[in-house]
Amino acid sequence: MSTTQVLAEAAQVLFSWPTIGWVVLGILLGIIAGALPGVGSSMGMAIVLPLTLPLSPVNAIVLLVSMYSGAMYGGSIAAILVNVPGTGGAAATTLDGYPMSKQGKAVQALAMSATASATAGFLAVLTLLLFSPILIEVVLMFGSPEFFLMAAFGLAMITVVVQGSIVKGLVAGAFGLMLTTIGIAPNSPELRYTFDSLALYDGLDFIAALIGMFAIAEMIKLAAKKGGIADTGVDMSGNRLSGVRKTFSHPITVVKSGYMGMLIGAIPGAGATVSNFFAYGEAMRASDDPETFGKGNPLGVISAEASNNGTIGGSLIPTLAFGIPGSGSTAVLLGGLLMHGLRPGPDLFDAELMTTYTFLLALLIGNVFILLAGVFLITRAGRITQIDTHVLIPAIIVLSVVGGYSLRTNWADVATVLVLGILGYIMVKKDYSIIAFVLGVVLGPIAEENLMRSLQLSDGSYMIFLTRPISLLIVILIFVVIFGPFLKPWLSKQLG
Amino acid sequence: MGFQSTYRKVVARIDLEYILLFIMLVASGYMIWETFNFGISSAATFPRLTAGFVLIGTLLLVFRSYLPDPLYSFVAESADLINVDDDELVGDEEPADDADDGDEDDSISTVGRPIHDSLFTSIIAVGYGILGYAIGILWASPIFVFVYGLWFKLSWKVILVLVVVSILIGLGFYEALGLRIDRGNIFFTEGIL
Amino acid sequence: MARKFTMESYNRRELLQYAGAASVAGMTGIAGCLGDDNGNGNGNGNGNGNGGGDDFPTDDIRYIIPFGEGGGTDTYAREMVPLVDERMDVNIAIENISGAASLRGTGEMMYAEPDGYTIAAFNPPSTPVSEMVNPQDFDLENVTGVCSYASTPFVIVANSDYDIDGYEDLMSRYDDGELENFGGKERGGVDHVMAILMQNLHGFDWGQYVGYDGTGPAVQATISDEIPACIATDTGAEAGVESGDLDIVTGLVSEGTEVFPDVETVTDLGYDNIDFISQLQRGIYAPPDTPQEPLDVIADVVEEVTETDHMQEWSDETGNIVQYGTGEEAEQAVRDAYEIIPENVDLEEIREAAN
Repeated sequence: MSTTQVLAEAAQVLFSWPTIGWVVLGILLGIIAGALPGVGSSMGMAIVLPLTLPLSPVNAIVLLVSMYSGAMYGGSIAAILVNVPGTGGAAATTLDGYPMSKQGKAVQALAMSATASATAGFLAVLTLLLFSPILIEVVLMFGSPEFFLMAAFGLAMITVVVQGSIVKGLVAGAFGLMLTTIGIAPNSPELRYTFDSLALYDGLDFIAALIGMFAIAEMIKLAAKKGGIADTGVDMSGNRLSGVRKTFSHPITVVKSGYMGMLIGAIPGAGATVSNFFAYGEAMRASDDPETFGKGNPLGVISAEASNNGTIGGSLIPTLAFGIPGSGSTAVLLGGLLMHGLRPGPDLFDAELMTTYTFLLALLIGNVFILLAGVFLITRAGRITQIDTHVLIPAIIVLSVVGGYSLRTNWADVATVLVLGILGYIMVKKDYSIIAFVLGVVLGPIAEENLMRSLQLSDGSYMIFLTRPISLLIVILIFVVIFGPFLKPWLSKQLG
Repeated sequence: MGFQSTYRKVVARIDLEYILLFIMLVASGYMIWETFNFGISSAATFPRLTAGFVLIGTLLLVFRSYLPDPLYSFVAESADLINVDDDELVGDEEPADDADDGDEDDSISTVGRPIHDSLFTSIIAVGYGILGYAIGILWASPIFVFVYGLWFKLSWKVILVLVVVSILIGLGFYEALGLRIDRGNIFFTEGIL
Repeated sequence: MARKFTMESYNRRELLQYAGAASVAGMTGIAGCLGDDNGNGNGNGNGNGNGGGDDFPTDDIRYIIPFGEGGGTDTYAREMVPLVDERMDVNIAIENISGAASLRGTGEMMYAEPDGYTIAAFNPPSTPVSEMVNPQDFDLENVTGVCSYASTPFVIVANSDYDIDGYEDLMSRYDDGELENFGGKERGGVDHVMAILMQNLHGFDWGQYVGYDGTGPAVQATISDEIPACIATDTGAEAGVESGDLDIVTGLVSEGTEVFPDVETVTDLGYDNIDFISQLQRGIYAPPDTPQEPLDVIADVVEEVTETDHMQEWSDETGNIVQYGTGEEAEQAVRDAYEIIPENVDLEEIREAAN
């Protein structure tokens, strides 16, 4: 079957009931999760993940990617209205979005954010769709040693991206990796740290770890905050259509920011949290009046919001092609793929191409719904940010515990959710990156399996990582990433 | 208020970071030690690699204030654009909470309870898990939200809504996934529904 | 009571929705996941353990799939169970208890009441090999066979760049040292045991066994020439052979395979028969000492179902072979695995070979 035929068939699946319904639901749930500071996309998706068990693989993934996309936009709602980014990807949006809100242009800013998000998201996913045949060629060049190194590279990247001490980040990541060694070894029939219990035979469930780290940890933290997440009043004024028009009158900013987001998103470990600041900085640099940024310049909102939705298309590349997610949300998405029997890698672009195209198209179409929701439902958006946390917290804990148990009907998973939740809370409080930890948990099995297989291939020699050109390149990149920040001042001193 | 002052004193002496580092230290130490009992040596490579990394990193973090300068900056300082306050790394006088969370004021609880809200939430969440194991998650959920609601002084209307929601969530999973959450492992082992 | 049932393989958990509402006799607590102590937790609450007779079944039947949703065994179950269901007066509740190389779910079945109301699907020799390598407290050898419904034969494929001409050519190239690595599913699993058997019985002297997480990845690695050749299921190798990326080297089952009818098998070449390990016999099993009558009731219905047009069409469409076998045959497959494998393979060697 030719690619276009598959694409046509995928479109047919997408536009049939109930698949298209899952797109709409996903976008709406995503917007709500994104708009709730403290919830955000990764946590929202992690809670919904077990609920997708009864769905078909296609519908489940469509729901999850739509939530991802919706949350990227939703994050801007709280950023603009109450100066608290709903997701890390909307942090730069607060800089100009909130000032606009104070100037009585909240609705305009929200409409701008929706338009920029939708347009850039659309472009990035379209680009991904067009380039996916090339992508598969690249994936096929990667063997076991490269897969191991890519996992290591993803972890190294994240520790640089997160703020705080690199060693804390590395230790958090390694701690995650370490916990994945519980259970039967991937390449030999050795039971490790199972205390003779079959419940631990397969180790900790990484989806349970995601739920604990994202949902429970955040709820424990939120419990200490008073009342509503944002209890200041919101003024919903401004003109929505002028927001849409304003966005389209700056096509270069939208396109440039969107593709910047896509490129940064494609680097494992980097994500919307980084890209929105980069795009914002670039828009400021290219501007004629950079001093108006931070005081309600619409371009600030447009660039930040275009970039974070552009990131989605990019971040799917390492996730789908290598199984190496670059962010919390893509880690959850990866969990969804695996839970529904879809294995990242060449398969997704070959045997499962129809499924892949269906959810890429869902993302594409989802942007239309983001635009519609952003322009027409937005006057109600303020309400979302006013929800009392003490209503949210117990409900989310219940969902997390039941969801954790439903993964494998294994009490070890419930324990994982709760214990890692508390540990995650301490990590958040003390600046140990939970994203690094989560990536460690997700990448551990991939890393170990491919490391041990590489050693089987080379008969035990670690030289296999240096003698292959692609491997060597990744090894060099890892060193640059980890030691670069420390070598830079030293180098510049040496050079005079 | 004997309990209050004792509690404050205890909490003031506990630094959560040291709890975390202690857990990681013990876990990694145990995991390395246990690898020597493995029958298959190749299964030990990765655990030793990762646990060794955690062990060394944890020790560096524990003893960071005694480290000589170039190493100290590598361990404790931030490599990126956003700088972290130095006193946040060494100053451990604060009881459990970071200073930057402005909305967590000096009073221990936002609802005037004698222990920290986060501590209570952690304890009750774990209690919920254990109760769920004992009597079935479906029955433990409403009890959990009810206690939570009382503690945080929610209105009766809200508590009632939460109880109903928690039962609905349980029933939803029970119906949609055939999840046997109506039975516990100690009580109601035959299931209620 | 022919309940309406949608045939979409999509609604995987749908069955459970109905099953969950009714209580099942002899249901164990989910404590099964906690390992050794689950033998005691089994209640047979409502006195339904009359073990058959003419009126079997009077209550819902619990069908344990010791694998996750979407796996091969699960796919068969989701296709067959609705048809079995229609032909019985009770519901068949599919329950996925995955993990521990299928030992968790299989253990759950082994500890259930032997009354015909708890059955499980597993595939010798794979589950027996897992149990032999990591021994459990239950005696899987004594399991009662209900029937089998399919078998999946293994073959050897090689990257077509090597132009390998049959099994003997393959062996001589490994002898010469031209080829070194050989692969298949993870070490300590069936493929690995099979490779060691071929070494011991056929003199197939591969150097390193490289394990992959399933047949798909192993085949992929052979196509990308990470390893020159691997063991694969016939259906798993089909696409690669058709596209010309892979050459089929030999069939490992004496009677050949439906997918590659023309390929020479190892027995054609005069090598020892290794049928007891070179095909997955997909079977349905009940706990030890389950009386025969209730099982016959189930087996008869499964036989009827495997012969329906619906199953045959599904088989043609998907390439999943459907073929009924008796309970005796299903039991024999397990017994063979337990008798012949330890005779020919030193299980300690397997554990050491994994080094």
